[in-house]
Amino acid sequence: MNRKQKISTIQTALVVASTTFGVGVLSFPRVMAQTAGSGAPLMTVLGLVLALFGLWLVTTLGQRFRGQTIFDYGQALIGRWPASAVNLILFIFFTVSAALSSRQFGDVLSIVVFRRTPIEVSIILILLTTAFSCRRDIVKFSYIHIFYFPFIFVPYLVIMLVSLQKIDVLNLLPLTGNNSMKFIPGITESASLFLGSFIITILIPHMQKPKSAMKSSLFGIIISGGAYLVMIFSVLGIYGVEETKVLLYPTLELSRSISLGGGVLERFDALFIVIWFITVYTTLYSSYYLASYAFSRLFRFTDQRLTSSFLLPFMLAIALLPLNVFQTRSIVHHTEFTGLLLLTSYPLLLKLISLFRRKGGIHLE
Amino acid sequence: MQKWSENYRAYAQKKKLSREEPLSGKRGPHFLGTLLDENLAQFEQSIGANGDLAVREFQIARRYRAALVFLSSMTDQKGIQENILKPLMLWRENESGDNGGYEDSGDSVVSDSSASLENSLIDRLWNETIYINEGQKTSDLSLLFNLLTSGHVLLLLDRCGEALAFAMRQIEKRGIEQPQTEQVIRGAREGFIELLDTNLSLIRYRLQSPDLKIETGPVGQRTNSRVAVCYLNGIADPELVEEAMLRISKIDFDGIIDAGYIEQFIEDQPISPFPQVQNTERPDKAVAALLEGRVIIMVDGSSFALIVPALFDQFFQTVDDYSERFIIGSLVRIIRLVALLFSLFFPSLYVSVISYNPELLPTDFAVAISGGRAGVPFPAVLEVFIMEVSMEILREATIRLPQMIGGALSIVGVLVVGQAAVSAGLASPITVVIVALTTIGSFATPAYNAAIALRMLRFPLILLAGLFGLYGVMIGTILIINHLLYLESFGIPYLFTLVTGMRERLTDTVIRVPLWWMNRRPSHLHPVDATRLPDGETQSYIDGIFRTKERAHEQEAKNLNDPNRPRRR
Repeated sequence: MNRKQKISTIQTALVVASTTFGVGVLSFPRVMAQTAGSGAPLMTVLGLVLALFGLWLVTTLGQRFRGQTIFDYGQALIGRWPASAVNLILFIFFTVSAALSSRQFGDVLSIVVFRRTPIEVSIILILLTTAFSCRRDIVKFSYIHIFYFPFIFVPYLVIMLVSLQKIDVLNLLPLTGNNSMKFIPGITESASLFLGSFIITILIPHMQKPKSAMKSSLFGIIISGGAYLVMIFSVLGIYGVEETKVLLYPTLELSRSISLGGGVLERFDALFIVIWFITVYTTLYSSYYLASYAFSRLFRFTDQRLTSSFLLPFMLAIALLPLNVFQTRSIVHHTEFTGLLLLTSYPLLLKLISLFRRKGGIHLE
Repeated sequence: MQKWSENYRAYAQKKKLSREEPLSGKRGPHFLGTLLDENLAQFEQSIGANGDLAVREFQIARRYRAALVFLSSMTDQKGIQENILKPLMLWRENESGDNGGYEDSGDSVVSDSSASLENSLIDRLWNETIYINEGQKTSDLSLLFNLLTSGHVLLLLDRCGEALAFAMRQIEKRGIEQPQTEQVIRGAREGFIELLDTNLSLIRYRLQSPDLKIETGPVGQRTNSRVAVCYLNGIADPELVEEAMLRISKIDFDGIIDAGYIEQFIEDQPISPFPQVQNTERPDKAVAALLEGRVIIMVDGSSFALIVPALFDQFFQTVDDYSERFIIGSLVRIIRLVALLFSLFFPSLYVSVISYNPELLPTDFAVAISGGRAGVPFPAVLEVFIMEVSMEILREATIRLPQMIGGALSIVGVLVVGQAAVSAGLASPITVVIVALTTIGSFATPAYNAAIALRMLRFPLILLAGLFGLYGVMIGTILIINHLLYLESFGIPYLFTLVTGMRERLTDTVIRVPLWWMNRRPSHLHPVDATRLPDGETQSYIDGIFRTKERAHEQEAKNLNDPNRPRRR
């Protein structure tokens, strides 16, 4: 049966949402509190807007070059070799960011759950799980995201709703933050949460209606951005800025403080880590998939099956490079900043060139 | 529309010819000779004279030598006597005038004109004397062999290069009984039997439509089993039918013993514990599947019909979901789904909570559990594992035993051994409860093959739970779910109805809405005609709920008289 399966608009939105809602969930309120103080919610919104701008570039480019991904039409726009160089950088970025996600995951696991298990074990396990599922086409890839979507968002919403009653509005004021607000780090931190939305570039060629790609990426970002926003409101509202700054994983603390079902689930945090595992998995899955896709494009393989297995040892090696949690954190910080720069400036360049060359009379479609 | 079936036939024909070349070469000449004795010798040599091959020589009109060749084990002896032998022997040539002139010249005529005489004789016999519905004339020897082994009676004439074959097949069969594997509370009590023709008739009388198409053909190099592909023309997706035909025609195995053989050759992903083809013993289920736009495959000699494509949700749906009240049907489905999840996750969750996260439990309960486990020498993983394995052994043992002993064994096994294990300190009481719930849960799934797949998958989950706790269970679950999401059945994603397809998900997956609400056939099957109920009807039923009774009658009467009322095209 050669009926080609396609992804619908809503499904694309769900993929974007579950990709962008990721590893950062646990530590994100702390980072935002450190950089923006009580202005954190506002800063999140600003970061969201910045992320939307990058996403808008990628989406419009994808719509212009029907059936191609950024790895392909980059070559058409800036020439084969320069584009290959950028593709290589993109590939390295996604590999590193996937590896670092798995590392962050391993850190959390060895701090919270497996205190005596070596960190390698948990990293290998999640990387293996992801590598197995990378041997799929993009439609199946999106099915996986869609299936897990409710399992990711519903538990978080439940936790947030249960904790709503404890929010003290005073903790959230002033909304614009205090004088000590660091604008640039704050906005990059919050915008880099949504870096995963770059996945849209490989989804657009498989969409039923590529025209509504913009709508779906907007929806996706709004779903995950909304979840982030609700989360930062409740964490800051309950703990206040200063306390949030000293909590390593504020969201986890929040889940510890609630109990459900009249004491049947007396402590929610063990369950929360399990749910968080799916969140990490979907995010890691997207970046791993992008990395192996970029790799296969780089060497013009037909698909990413082989490359996904090939990348596994490298991912593991990169994930084990940082010596401790603090080093991981600073490396992640730098990578995210670089990534934000890369994933915004490169599409911007391509967009400008495509606009310019279109004026010059070369019809590209 | 006709194109694919021609394709398939041509494909099958070509394949058959290329395969039979060496075989027929061994059997001697391709075509029937003209001498009766030589032909008979050939049959006896190939089939074996002292088996069930019966040769009855006689004379027609007291001068033409003829012989009936048939397999006595597969044919209707009485029918041969009454409808073939009797009329042939009583036939008189001079009943029709035009052959009278040849009467004297009989033996002295040159051979070619005599052969043509015999050839016209064979036509006359067929037209005038034989009381059989179905028959054919051929001179192809390999075809004749096939006809003979499938229960035809051959009529051979001396000095004639052609033979007549009559369908006189009669096979001993058992009566139609209640299907053993798919019992229902409310529904038909008929089940398929081994004979294909009977099974086809069971489907045919439920679905009295000229659109029901049945394509049959032999599959299996040695067994030549008849395989029938049934579908509803104008509903089933032509591409699906073509794909099914193609996959069947590709089978080049020596013997097809059961429908399960076919299943293994046509499924999409062989390396998977999950069934991708549904089997059923129930004709009503088969007919319902046909009406949804699916394709039914049946094999002669197997009492199971295969339904393709089969998605995951079909395996926990039964026929009486549809005949019972829809609310009850939906609730029962949810219960079955819960039971399915029980059978998969319960033991591994228990193991991981006990050995890694006892803080998840309320304190009193955790104390009670650890009190029960006090004397048990094993870690929780091993304990659960041992009990689960012994439960599986017990299950397998009761299936193979005769029913009377099986019941006794299960009582001994479950009650006595379970109780004894607890008091001997081998297992804690809560473990026995968990194991029992798991097993009962897996028996609540209607489809045996889907239930056993999930039941077996719980063992790796238990191991992962023992190694990594809840985190391990999560990894195992993700792997299982990803595998399910990857599977396809005839090109349709296995979890399609759960992942996409909003309407299917709402109307006929976990819950079942009233029949008048399912006004469209499942869209993932790409039916040609998707309409089950004319468009306005569903709305009128919904309106009917909210209308008062008297007004409803008025409205109904008005609707019936209204010429613009939407009707089925």
